[in-house]
Amino acid sequence: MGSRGTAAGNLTLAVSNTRLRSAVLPASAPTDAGTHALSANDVSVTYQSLRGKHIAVDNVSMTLRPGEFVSILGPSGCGKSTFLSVVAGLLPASGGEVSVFGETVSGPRKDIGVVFQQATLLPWLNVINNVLIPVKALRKSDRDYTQRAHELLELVGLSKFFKYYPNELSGGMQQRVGIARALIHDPNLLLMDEPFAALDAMTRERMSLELQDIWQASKKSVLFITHSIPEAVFLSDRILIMSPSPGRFVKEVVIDLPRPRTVQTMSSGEYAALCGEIRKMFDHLG
Amino acid sequence: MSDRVSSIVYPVLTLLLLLVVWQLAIDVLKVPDYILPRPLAVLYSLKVGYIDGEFWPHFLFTLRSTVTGYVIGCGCAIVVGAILAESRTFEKFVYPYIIGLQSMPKVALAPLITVWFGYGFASKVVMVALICFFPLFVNTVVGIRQTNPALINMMRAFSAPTWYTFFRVKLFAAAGHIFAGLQISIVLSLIGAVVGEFVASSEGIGWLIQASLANFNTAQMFAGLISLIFIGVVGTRLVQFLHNRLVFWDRGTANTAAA
Ligand SMILES: Nc1ncnc2c1ncn2[C@@H]1O[C@H](COP(=O)(O)OP(=O)(O)O)[C@@H](O)[C@H]1O
Ligand SMILES: [Mg+2]
Repeated sequence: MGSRGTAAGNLTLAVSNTRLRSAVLPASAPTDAGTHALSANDVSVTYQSLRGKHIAVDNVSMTLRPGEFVSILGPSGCGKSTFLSVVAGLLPASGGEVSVFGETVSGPRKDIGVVFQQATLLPWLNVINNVLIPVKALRKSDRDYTQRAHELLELVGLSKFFKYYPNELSGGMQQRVGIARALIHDPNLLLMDEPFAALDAMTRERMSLELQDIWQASKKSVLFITHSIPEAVFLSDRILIMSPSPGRFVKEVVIDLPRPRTVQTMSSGEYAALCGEIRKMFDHLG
Repeated sequence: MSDRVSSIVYPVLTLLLLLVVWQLAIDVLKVPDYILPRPLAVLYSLKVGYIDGEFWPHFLFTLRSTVTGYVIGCGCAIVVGAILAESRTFEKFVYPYIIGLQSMPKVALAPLITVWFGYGFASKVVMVALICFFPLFVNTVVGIRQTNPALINMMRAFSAPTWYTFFRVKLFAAAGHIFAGLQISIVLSLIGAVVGEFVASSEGIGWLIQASLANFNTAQMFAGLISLIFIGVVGTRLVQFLHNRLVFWDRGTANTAAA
């Protein structure tokens, strides 16, 4: 595993008392300079249905630098989840190619963590065992990871709930378990498919703040999917705007708001201007 | 009165009322004993049966064949159901025959089974196993196939091997359906045992009931029925208890399952 390793011994997370934990999750791959965390070249996906062929994703290209937070923003049905499935190796592309850290994606990879729109926790496992699913699925000894699971639960603010079952948790808490689960095997790339879409507006805003903390602490590369303009602007380094039928990236917006972004950021003029600008782009798309 | 107490006392009151009406009906309408025995006669028959001990061999025979057949039938149902749910190829090979077998009334096989397996224990076990196989088999297939695809997709995203997803996700997801099937099969297994004994036997509760016909001993028929009800209720309760215990995340299904 070498430098990209997840050697259980050095999985310690220094958790500080402050809200924003300066904790450092085990460092992600110090990848060769120039290697993209993710790059997609002319990716297309065509679904075959009864009504004929449907082009869900059409010749999409993008890159993601290590440690970068990039969002794909678009209305529902424009092909965001489809594209993410291709990146995750869950769906073969009809055309084009995706590579993660320089390797062509041909199936699910062990160095990717995925957070889904629905928390998809296993109801018969308690929180800590749900967090450990990726480790167990990879047939690694989960004893080595229990400590890390507790640290991740601390990071997502659920350390007291490790013995709870999913049906005893609120939607927001379940989604946080999902985030901890996606980080347990120390993936280098985190894929998030509208992770907060099923939550109420207030929880959602809080989750955005927390996700920023987690991302800054863990230094992961993140591909984040959303249909919420404010969420995308708040979280991202860059936003790729996707238009529907067929799904294409039509614009790229760089968000250079200073970090860490806070609640004040959300009420700043710059922030509002960026949101307004992007909203206008969608209006032009029709 | 607490819920616990009332849940015992109320049904007992119903029973007492029923017994009184039963006794009165016999007295008023002058129903002869061989048509409808008086409650006390049934009680007496139960006493002779279980305290003096005449019924015990029959009770144990029926219990043994029911339990053995149930375990074999249910075990096969879960294994075959799981294989069929997972393998489309296997499904293509056997599905038409399974449908055919399922639509056949299994009790019609009883004479044939007697020819093949004899008059004793074995033929009863086969009858029971055969009759409780299908509902559980169907429930197992449906249960495994209705596993939330999002969960399977999630396991795939985390590189879980297929067999791991099967044992750690699909089987658990199907557990509610499987237990519902186990409950239905309890009642069916008793039917199987009794039919087997009706057709050809020299022991068992079913045989006892049929033998009572010779001298119109209706009190003994009732005593036999009560014995069967006892086995059925205890079995159902046991499965319900396990259902609640093991499928703790999905309790809703436990008490509505028995059709
Ligand atoms: N399995 C599928 N079969 C056929 N069409 C699909 C399938 N999944 C998605 N689609 C279609 O592809 C388009 C993009 O879907 P999706 O990627 O889920 O969009 P988004 O995540 O942006 O809401 C939609 O029009 C949807 O109807
Ligand atoms: Mg989607």
